[in-house]
Amino acid sequence: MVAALIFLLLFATLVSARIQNRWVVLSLFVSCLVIISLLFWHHVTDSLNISL
Amino acid sequence: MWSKIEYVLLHLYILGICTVLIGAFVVQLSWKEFPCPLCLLQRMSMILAAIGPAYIILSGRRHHHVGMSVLAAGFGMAILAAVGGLSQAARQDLLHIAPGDKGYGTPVFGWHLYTWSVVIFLVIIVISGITMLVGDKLVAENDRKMRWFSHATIWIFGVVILANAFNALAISGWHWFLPDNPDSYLLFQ
Repeated sequence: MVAALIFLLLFATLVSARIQNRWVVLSLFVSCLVIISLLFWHHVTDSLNISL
Repeated sequence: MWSKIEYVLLHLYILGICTVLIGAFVVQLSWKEFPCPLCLLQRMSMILAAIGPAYIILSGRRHHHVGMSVLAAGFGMAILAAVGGLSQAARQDLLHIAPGDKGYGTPVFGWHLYTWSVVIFLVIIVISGITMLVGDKLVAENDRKMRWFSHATIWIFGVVILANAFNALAISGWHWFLPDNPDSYLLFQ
């Protein structure tokens, strides 16, 4: 569900680009970047159990 | 002249990323290969890398002339997102680097999708760098055809993002995180 919410946040960032308020776009972009990095960190530190 | 070509190339940049994401859907649906958490992270980073150029296009539609500050912001976003995506793709590549490892999923044109992903993120960084190097202000063609093209590009991009959101929800179901090795759509079980 976290992944789906991040995709929705990405969609919100695209919609905010239409509004053309630079700070809103940049804030949402940085939020997406931070959340994606945190999720990546979660999966890096968590065992993936991919068949090796 | 270059500034007008650059505006068209921005559209092709976004449509190129949409094509890659749709291709990933085709692999998932036709070969029944479910994306792992790292695969979805790379899709997120690809979308994030296309939001900067979308911001430039939408700015061009409104103001006709796009200044260097908007161009720098757009391609700066693309580079940051691509660096994040590159680290995710490299992580997945390194997970399967051991001799004898068959990798995750079926190779496409000889390489796995996460190896292609490394190439795509590198290309994004190089394109963004070159554009910032030679770019001056950008002139947006705002005739009817071009407006329609911009409109269609942004709409296709939006639909691809929403499709990915639904896909992620379908795979994870109502669980917070995706399973490590997904093999079904948990939402429909």
